[in-house]
Amino acid sequence: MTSEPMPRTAVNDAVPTPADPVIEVADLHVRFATDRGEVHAVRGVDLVVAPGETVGIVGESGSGKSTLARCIVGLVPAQQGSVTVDGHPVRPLRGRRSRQDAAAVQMIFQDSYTSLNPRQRPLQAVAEAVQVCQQLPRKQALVRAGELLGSVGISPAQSRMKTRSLSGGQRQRVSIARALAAEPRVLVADEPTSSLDQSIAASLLNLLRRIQRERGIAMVFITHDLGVVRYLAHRVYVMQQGRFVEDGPTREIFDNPQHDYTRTLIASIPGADT
Amino acid sequence: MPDQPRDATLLRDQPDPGAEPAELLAVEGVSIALRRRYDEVLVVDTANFTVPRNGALGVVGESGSGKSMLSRALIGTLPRYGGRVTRGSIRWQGRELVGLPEKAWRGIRGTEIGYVPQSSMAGLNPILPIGDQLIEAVSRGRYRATPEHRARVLELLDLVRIPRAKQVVSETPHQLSGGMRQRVVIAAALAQRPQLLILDEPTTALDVTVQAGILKLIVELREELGMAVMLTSHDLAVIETVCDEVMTMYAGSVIEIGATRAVRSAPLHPYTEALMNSRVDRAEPGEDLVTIPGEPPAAGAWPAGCRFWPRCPIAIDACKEGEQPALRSFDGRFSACIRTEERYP
Amino acid sequence: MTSEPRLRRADPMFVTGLTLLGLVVAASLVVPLVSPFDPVRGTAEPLQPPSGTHLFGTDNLGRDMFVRSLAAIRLDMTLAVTAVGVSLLVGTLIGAVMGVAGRSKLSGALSLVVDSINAFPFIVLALGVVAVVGPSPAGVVSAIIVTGWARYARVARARAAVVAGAEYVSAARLLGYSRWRVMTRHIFPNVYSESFAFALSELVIVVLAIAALSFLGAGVRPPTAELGAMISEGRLFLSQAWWIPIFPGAVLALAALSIQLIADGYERMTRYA
Repeated sequence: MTSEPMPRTAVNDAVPTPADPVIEVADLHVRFATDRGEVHAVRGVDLVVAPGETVGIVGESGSGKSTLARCIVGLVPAQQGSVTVDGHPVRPLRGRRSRQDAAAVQMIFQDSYTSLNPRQRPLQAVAEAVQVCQQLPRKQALVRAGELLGSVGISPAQSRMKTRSLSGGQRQRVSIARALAAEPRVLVADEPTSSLDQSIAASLLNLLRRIQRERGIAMVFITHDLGVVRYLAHRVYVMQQGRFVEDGPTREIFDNPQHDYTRTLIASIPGADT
Repeated sequence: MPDQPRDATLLRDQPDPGAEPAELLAVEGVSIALRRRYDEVLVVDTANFTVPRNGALGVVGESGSGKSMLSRALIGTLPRYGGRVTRGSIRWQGRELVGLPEKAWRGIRGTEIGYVPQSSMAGLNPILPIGDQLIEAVSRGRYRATPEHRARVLELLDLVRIPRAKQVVSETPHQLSGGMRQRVVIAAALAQRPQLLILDEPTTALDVTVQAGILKLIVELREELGMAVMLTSHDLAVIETVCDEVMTMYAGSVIEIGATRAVRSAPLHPYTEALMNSRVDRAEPGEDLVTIPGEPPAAGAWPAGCRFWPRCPIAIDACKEGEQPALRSFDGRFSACIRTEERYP
Repeated sequence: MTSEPRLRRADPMFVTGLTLLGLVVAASLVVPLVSPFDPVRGTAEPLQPPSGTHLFGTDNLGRDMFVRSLAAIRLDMTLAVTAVGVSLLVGTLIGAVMGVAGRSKLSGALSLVVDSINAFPFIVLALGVVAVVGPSPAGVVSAIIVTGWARYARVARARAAVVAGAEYVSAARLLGYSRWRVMTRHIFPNVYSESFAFALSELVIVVLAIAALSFLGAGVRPPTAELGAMISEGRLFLSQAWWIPIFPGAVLALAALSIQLIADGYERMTRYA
């Protein structure tokens, strides 16, 4: 299966729905029980992403976007529908995950602090991932881990520091390096910059773009921040109450929103009328 | 032609002893220290700024800037967090607030200066109905449910544009949405008709559509009630919507003050400039975002000289030594960069 | 925002406790070896008040109280540490499994056992165990372990449940780590530190409980030197030879105090601002 990275066009050029997607989500439904009864968090979602493409999922709280992200990755089981990467279905987590599934899709979480094991230093954490995912012996895994960390901007000194001594931005970079150890085809990023300062978030976004260009990874970027989506995503899906209400190339969505909710969202960007 | 750079302690001319002070709030040379396990660390260093009557000041700062501690100093809750004002003066309508005993603060906090915390749940008691909590706010802490107070509660809910006020009054905070809760907290803060409302990141935890509503509300309230507003945020766009003036803080220091429009289109200080440029909406899709290399220094680890110099694209040797530069006045705007004069003659 | 490396300055309480306990333990190891007197067989004049030769006096059988008390604290500490150590290990392992297993049949069954034991009055259960095993060091240690492990399990269960839901555990599973690896490298290391702090605070109680059980006659029996038993025997002589019950009591109190200081100091040191 070929996976050439998308040619480096300006993000906002109109991109038709890709014909040869790397990941396909079809008619996904997720329900779970809460104290307040059953919640139908995801109600029939369809999604495709091509290699080298970034797809943004925007929605507010309660839209189900985080549940959707966790379901795509396999952390949450779907009651209906399928998630396929390179033609193979991605199974929800049960027991030990297969190497194939691990190499299909990985996730970057929102909270940089809880996404790293406080008992492990970055080098150990990434080396462990390399050891398991790439089946390398420990010594080589350590070397490879050092390279991965370097490529995301973590110095050898920083890779030996305790997690809590690192800043939010640095921790997110470590998480990215760890995810890359599995050499995933798809990266799902769930609000990775929401808890970061603006200037730090900016450099993280640059990093994600670079990684995508270099590796041809397909990225699903979940966020509530329309500004980030406009900058980063080739195509956008707008989510409300478990469903996609609109989707399309980024520029079209922003210049010519069709659905009322999309219009409301865009109009509420502070400074939209300035 | 800029004024001669002068020490910002002369931000306003010596007041005429008889007249009412023109500034509602005047902060002069205020430093705040925070108690840590074995020592004390400075988190705000020599802050100078003013808020005029009916003014709207926005405070922009990232983590470690000290903006939250500054807000707390203005409502006298520093002791709760182990902080204290080590020097300087905070004058509220001519009255000195530094060193004020807690008893005196009770007369000012809530009554003259209102405060809206970042998390609406932090400002509300989770088990009491909204109506009861607002009656507490209206009757200054002594719960007295007189008909006048009840009427005032409904008035307040109307003021913050909460529909179905009669129903909301009997609901508990959990039954309301985040945006509604924030409005309730604002209503409580307005109960005593304060002349200054301080809002600490009021919309950070809210969805963007809800945020728009709250910001609009703040703008309208300011106009209707003639009160002054001071709003802290890390989001420049939020501040631009509400505030006339904006103040940027970095590593405990105030580094720029100016009219929002002016600062936005032509920032004087390189940090403000870099912050503006790193905004996602300033970026060209397909191009890398402009970033500021490095990270803001933590309190206690501030470098010598200008705190920003390690990350500054235009730092020169003079920036790296001595004290953090004071704010200098440039035609009504202020910048703490020693190179501003040469860059913008 | 980068933070400076955190200085782990030793807490004064911790250091004091450690020093005190260190002195007591050192004395308890050295003195019985060096002293000419035997803790179990009396060779001196009985009922002698404290003097230069017999620092704590002698008891009714002519045994030197100083050596005997120190030998007793050595035994008590050994038993306490063993009891706590085993409870900690067993309880934490079981609790961790329960916490991770979430709402499964296994977890439910174990929870029933754990909660039942925790609900049982200590004395009743402890005496029951001693009745089965027999009053002896083994008996009293068994009693402590049987009554205590469930408390550690509860602490570990709560912590493990939190840790199991943490994102780094999700990340580990997404990366394809085996259940064993996740459990041993990601969950367990983040669970036991809290259990350890709990164990330190339990140590005081256990030392006193061992002495209490022996005091009641349900633990270590004379002539073995054990503080609780010594206090119990010495009660009869309180008016004529006060040093017989008092000194063992004082040694016990000192040991307990020093362990408490260690536990509190440790908690303060590991608590983050």
